[in-house]
Amino acid sequence: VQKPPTGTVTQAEFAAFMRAYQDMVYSTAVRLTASDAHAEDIAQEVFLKAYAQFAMLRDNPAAGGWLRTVATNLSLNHLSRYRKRWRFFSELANEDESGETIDLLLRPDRARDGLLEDLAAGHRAARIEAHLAALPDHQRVPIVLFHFEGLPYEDIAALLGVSIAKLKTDLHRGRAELARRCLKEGLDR
Amino acid sequence: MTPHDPDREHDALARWTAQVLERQPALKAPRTLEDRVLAALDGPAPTPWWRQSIFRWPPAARIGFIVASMACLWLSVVVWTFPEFAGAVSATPMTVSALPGFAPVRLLVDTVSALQTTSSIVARAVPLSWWYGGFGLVVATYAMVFGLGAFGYRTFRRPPSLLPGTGPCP
Repeated sequence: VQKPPTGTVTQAEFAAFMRAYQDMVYSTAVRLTASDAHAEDIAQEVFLKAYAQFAMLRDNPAAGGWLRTVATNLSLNHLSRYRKRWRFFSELANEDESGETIDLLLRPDRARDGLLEDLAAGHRAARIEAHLAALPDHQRVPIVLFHFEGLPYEDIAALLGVSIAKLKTDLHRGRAELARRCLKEGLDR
Repeated sequence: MTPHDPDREHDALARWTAQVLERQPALKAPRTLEDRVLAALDGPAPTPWWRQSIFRWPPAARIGFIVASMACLWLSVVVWTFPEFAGAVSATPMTVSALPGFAPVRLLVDTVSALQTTSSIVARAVPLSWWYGGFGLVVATYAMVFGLGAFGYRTFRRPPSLLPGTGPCP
């Protein structure tokens, strides 16, 4: 049984708290780990920690930030624990195709093969998430931390233990690869 | 032809990514999450640390375990390298070896000693070139398996996860 928080907490109260934040916590975890199973485990761990701190979090407007930070840290721990061994393979032969992609983005009359104007918004979002998830860890994680979590370069570099120059290179390559995949499917607008 | 301007290109790509990703809605947490958390809160006590992975052990326990392992390793190397040590223990007078609890130690020392004798006989019987050949074969096999693993991972690796409701990536 988990350590109960100070004060009386009903299960319904904590369930309501969870419902308010679970999508945000899960989104952070699934985008960082690119694995729905691991993200669910991480989200569970985040809420178990939140339960132990519920007296402090219950009416705290900063609860969302606290949960997001814990979810980010647990996800990064997970990645460093289970995926370090794959980093060598992941970084092999990552051709830089960014030049071609950027040309496409900058061209005003860029080709829109198979315009998918009628693509349902939900399906479009799901495809973009799938393309993001397909990026290698060292490209996806900086993109998520920068664009979704809104962290500055310095914080991301410190979290990932890389130089800012390496971080910017990974970010650029990740964006280029994401753009290339999305453009291929006409998901660019 | 547009002149190549890396800064402009980088900015365009960053802007494009921001525009696309900022419109992404939060992903729906699975329905099972709430039940899982509430069940865990009501569930049995968590597994004690000594039954979990060593990576979750308290730092002191981890250090103690590593020190104990190193000590065992050192003792094995000493016994293996200096046969007189094993011989000295084997030749301990009966009065000492008859002490309660000494028999298992003596059995261990005798076993190690026998293994050492056998291995030194084998080592002398096998020509040196065979040892070099065997070592080379092990290294070559390892490199080949490593290379095949890398090739297979790059060639057949699927995206780490496909989000619910999405098809395979092209």
